[in-house]
Amino acid sequence: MSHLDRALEELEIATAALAGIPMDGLVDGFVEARAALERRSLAIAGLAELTGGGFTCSPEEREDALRRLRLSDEAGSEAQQGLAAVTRTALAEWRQWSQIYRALGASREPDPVLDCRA
Amino acid sequence: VPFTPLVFTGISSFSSDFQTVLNRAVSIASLPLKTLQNNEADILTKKTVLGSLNTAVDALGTSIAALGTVAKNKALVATSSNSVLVSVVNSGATSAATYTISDITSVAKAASETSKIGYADANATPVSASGQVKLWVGAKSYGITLTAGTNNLAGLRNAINSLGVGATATVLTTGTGLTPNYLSLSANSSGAAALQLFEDPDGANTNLVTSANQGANAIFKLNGVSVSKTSNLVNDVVSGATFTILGTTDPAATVSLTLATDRTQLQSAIQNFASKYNALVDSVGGQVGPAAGLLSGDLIVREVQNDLRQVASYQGSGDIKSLSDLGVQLGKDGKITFDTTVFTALSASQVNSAFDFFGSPGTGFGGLADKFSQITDPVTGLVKLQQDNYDQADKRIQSNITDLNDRIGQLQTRVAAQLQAADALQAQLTSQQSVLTATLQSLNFTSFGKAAV
Repeated sequence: MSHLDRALEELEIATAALAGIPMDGLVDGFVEARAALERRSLAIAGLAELTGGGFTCSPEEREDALRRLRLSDEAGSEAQQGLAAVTRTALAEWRQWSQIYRALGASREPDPVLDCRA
Repeated sequence: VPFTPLVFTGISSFSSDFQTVLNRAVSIASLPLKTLQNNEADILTKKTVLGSLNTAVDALGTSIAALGTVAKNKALVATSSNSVLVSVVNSGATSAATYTISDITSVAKAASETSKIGYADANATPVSASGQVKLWVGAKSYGITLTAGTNNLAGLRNAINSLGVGATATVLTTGTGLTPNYLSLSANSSGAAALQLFEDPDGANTNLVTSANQGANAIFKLNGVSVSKTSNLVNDVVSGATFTILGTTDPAATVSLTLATDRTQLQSAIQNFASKYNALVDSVGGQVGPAAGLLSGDLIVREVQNDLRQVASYQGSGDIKSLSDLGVQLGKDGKITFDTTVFTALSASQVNSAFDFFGSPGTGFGGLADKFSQITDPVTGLVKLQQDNYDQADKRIQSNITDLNDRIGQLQTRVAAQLQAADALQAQLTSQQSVLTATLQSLNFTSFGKAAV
């Protein structure tokens, strides 16, 4: 197995792990999700380094690598959409809270800062 | 309190969109808060206004009851021709009268004696050779046995005081001489009762205390009739008048006690009533009309207005039939004025009729005080009930707020955590996709024909 094959296989394994991120329990499964993303980051970085300056391969190898990379890219995009859906759901809950708030006349001021950089 | 805008600070490219959504949600949420705050402020203001109104209502009711009391007592005032020797107050008299006090030969006083000798040590020197003493309070005697440990001044004092028979013993310490400690024995009330303390009552029977300050009754004549009282305060001889004997009289001297109507008492009561009436009109006026306060339309305000009208229009059945007959006029502004010249010009007969008009705290004009009591009664009054309602409403609001705040707090924490997690993962994934896309592009331009690495 060539270096490229090994790098692509590692990327595929790491990308497959994205599907295991528990979108319904993102807070509880955050550590595992973060670990999966870290592994994928390392795989992508390794691949980028391998395909950097001076890299050559046969047309067959290149076509196979492109196909496999596109599949990983699509899987990553799907994971992105999944996370965006989680965000939309959370914000929908927030809006629902506001409606409840308005209906019942609560007085609590919401926390003025939701700092997600932490 | 204005809402603080919610700030969402994320690291993903969606952060600004999140912020827009949150701003909108918080903006919507701020509407009920203001309403709620206004409602709560209104409740507090209503309670305050109601409290002020209650004070004014109570003051008017009290002034009306006072008019009834003055009328019931015929505005009688008690006076003494010699207040140095005899003072007098009206304690409920309902008719004029004059009494003569003479021959005050004794002023009531309480017995107060002291041990004939002093003792060296109040806690050790024996006071009784036999250990047996007998205390006499007037005609009653009480035996006391002193033991080795209590046969001293302090022990004797404690024994006497523990009897609780209307005499109090104390130890006096002069601080001079070899025997500086004495027993002081005093009757708890005035009256002709002797205090004696006999040592060895079955033997030598020696009185341990002096007989120099025995108690005495107040002795005098009322309208020539001899009276003897244990107290100088005499409230059970003349109905409705309480007088106090303060000194003895010369043999031929007399003191006159007079109960007579003083119309200025009634005038002052009417003046006070007018003042309180107008104060209440002002208080109610702030809650009616175009610039009415928060109590506009309130049942209590309407009730007070109705009661005010009944007061102003009250009709009696005697020579004095209305307030206007006494110089009290209702103005166009709803307030009343009191023309004292009209009142001063009333005859004695008309003043008596005025007493009938005002009645008593429970009858006639004075009976109107009950109407205001029904409003201000601290337990069953309308104001109390209304304030209880306000308190309950406030509690309901507070309870709702507490419950909702709990739910909101939990929801907010959860949403924030979800957003934070999603945003962090999103940022990382976006970065990965960028690198992956670049890798794809790079591979697209890679030359081929060489061996794979």
